[in-house]
Amino acid sequence: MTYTVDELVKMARALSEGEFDREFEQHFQGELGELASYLDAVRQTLQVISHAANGSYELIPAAADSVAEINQESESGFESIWQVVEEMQSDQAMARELLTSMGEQSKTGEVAKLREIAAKSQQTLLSLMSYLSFQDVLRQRLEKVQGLIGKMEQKTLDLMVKFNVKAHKESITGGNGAQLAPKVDLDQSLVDQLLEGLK
Amino acid sequence: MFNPDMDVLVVDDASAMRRIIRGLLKELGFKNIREAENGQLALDELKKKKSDFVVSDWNMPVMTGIELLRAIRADDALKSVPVLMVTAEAKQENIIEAVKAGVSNYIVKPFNAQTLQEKLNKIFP
Repeated sequence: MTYTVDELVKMARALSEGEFDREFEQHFQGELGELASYLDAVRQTLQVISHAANGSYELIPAAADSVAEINQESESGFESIWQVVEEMQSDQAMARELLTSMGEQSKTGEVAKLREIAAKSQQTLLSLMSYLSFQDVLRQRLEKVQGLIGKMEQKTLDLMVKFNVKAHKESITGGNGAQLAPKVDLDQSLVDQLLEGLK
Repeated sequence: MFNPDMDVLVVDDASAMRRIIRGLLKELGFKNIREAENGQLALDELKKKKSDFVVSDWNMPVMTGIELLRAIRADDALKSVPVLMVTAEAKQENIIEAVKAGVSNYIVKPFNAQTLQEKLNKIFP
């Protein structure tokens, strides 16, 4: 059997179409054999890159979802604690009113003790409220992480489109027919490349 | 010592933070507390009615806290209003920038009530 340059062209076309998993048969001698060998080395490298990109692309949305869940749970926790804070504020206001109504003349030991406890309780309430500011710091940090994840997703998608990774097409349309759109905003050049790749 | 009847404007895009600061100021005796979600809305409020004290975050959409601070200091009617920044931005360069822009004092989140009380005592001796 004679192997022509056509076979090498087929190998190169397979690479351009994202066929990284199919091994090339090595039948060439001399310079053509060398070229075929280099093409196969490129295939193996692209195979590793495409598997890594595919794997990353599948993990990134899960990471983004986890971060969003943490943010939601933190907000939910804050709301629960804030309800308690508001109850404490209301109790504090009532205690202040009662102590005020007892008048400054009331100097019995018990009342003095009550004033002391009320003052301490107010400081505790102030501390509790201010420490809740951690939630805002957490929210801002998580938003930064979400931004970074979004950028990673975009770069990975760009890589997959550029390498015309076939598995990516399935992740877009979904095996069960459902649309699994990536959670990133695509720029026009990437949209055009995707449209081309999906044809 | 601050006047509890003074008008205070709390500026933060996070409703949770606005609630925290409002709650703290209320417990400390402040009675008239307004809120704004970003620097631009805060500036609009200040131009409608000047506040005696502004507490502002840094990172906000539309107009940031540092931009609000500069706008306040650039306005003849508002330039003397004390501005306290309460923010997660803790880098030296942020603090220097805020001082150059005329901030009255600076608190880093998360913070404790004692820090807030100390800063208020410094702004209103």
